[in-house]
Amino acid sequence: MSITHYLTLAIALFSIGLIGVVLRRNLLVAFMSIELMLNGANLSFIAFSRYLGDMQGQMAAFFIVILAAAEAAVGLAIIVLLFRRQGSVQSSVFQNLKDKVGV
Amino acid sequence: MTILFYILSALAVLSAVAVISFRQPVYSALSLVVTLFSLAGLYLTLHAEFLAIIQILTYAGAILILFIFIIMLLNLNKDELKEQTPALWRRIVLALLGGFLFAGLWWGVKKLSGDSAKLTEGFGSIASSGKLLFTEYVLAFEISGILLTVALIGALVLAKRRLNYLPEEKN
Repeated sequence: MSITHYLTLAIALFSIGLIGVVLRRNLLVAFMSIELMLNGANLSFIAFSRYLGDMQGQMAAFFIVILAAAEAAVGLAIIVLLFRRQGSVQSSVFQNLKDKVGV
Repeated sequence: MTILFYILSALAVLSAVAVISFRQPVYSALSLVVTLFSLAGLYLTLHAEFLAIIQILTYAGAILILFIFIIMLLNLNKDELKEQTPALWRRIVLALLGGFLFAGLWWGVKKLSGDSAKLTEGFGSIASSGKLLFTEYVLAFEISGILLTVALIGALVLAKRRLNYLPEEKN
């Protein structure tokens, strides 16, 4: 398989993740879509690493996995806090961050 | 190899679409597990054994468990899961945007050609990854340890009940 095949799959995953982030109102699912986008980026790193015969791409992918773990921990804690205060995990609860005077 | 790639990538794309289309977050999380496992299989075909293991251990293991745990902790009721279906024009615009993104990136990608480089002995193995991590990338490695500690403390502080500086809670 050539690198183009792998990169096409990576782009597809990234696009699906992006659509999910914008389309879904449930914060948990939007968060999972972000994980999908990260995985698409990861796959392209690893595909290029194989293509160039250089392990640096794999190291980048490794640190992205660590980053995703940290991000998931903090993000889910924020969602739990939000659910406790607002009783909802819909992204519309963030609307009260909006400036009431201006808009 | 070719047939394996097509099976795994079809599985990955289908389950990725399932992630963003299921109404119940638990089903989305389980579909995400399928995506992550098929990606781990694809990493194996790219000679990234170490990352395939990390993918299964960290992503499909730790992160997804965290997701499912939070979903069960929140215990969302039926009303809460009900989302307004976005208007048709918004869905069409979004699908077009996603399609354009895909087409644009693919247009750049398809020019890449030629064969892959010859691989050195032990490419992607745990031994060579470990050697790189503890020599060239040792600073980044230590910093990511600090990052994880900070994230742990941050998550604890955020999720802890009844902090003095927060206004009183609803229930």
